[in-house]
Amino acid sequence: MKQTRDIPVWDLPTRLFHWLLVLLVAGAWLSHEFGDVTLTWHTWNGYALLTLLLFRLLWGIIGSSTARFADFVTGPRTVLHYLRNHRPTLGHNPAGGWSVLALLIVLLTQAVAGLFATDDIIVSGPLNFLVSSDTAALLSSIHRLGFYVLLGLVVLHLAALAFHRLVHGDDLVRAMISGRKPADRVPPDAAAAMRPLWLAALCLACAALAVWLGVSMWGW
Amino acid sequence: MKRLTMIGCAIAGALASTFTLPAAADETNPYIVHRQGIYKTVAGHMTSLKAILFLGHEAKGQTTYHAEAIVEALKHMGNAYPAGSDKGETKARAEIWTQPEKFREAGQNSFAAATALSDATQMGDTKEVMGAYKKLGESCKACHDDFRKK
Repeated sequence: MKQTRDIPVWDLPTRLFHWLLVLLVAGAWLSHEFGDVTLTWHTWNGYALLTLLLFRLLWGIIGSSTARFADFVTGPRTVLHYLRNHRPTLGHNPAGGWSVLALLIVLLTQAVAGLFATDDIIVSGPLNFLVSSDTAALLSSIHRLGFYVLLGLVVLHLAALAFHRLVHGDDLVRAMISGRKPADRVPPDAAAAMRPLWLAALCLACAALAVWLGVSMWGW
Repeated sequence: MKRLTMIGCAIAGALASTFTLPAAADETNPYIVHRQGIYKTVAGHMTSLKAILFLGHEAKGQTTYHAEAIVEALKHMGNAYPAGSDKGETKARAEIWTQPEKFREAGQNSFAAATALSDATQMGDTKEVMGAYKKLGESCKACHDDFRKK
């Protein structure tokens, strides 16, 4: 077997984000499906999820190079070209970049819509009082139906993983755990520019502050 | 960066448009208007009970009033879904009319849960009342899951 060096691709904050996101998305479903009718866990799960998503938006602007939107959001021409001529990329490939963006947008929509939603029984989101009942009903429907859109994206995500594994022989799950890809799986001389951990901690703190303010400042 | 800004604007625009949708014309199907009124009555009492049971409102003695009011309101739901009352602005699903037995059972479950809540409030044990309240909420949710459009 050929001995190859592993190249750092994903920084720790991006990996933690990814796996915490998996846990919290599962938690969002579980706490709604099996949780108490007061949805206490679901609500707190939602705050955590929103914090994590806002962190990712910040990290996508000032984070490590492979985490930045500017690194992986490309035009449709690039995506089509990539789909026709597969070649290795350091971070997200052009198609995967759009998958990341779609997941972030749907999850953000879910989290924000949930703040305004009501189940018309017991539970109302913390910002439900800010909108008319018609708007709340619309956002509640978006929140309920968004789950199916998310489910579709998750299935697509897993299918893409299986495709890369079987067709290209890429172990993307391992890369998202260890943060590294084999040297022969990335473009030659490619290297990620990593940002320090304290900057990620600062982004997370800003995200948490924004969620806390957004939820509680209306009572002041 | 320019592309990011454009994406940001598109998201903001999509969100803003949901807040400025024109209000729909008032519904005039009498059965739809009537049953929605009853549901709002029930929801109002559920909200008041939440304030007493979970948020610390001190009017503990009034739980019986709210529970009985829910029972009374549900008594007026016996003929809330006659043929033709699916025409209009309603979240009622077709299954209400295609599976009337199952729908009636769901309604009876809620009525039984409301009666149990009323009984619990008269016994006066707060834990029991909270439990009965959640059971009623679960029966509402069960029916919404099967018979109400998302």
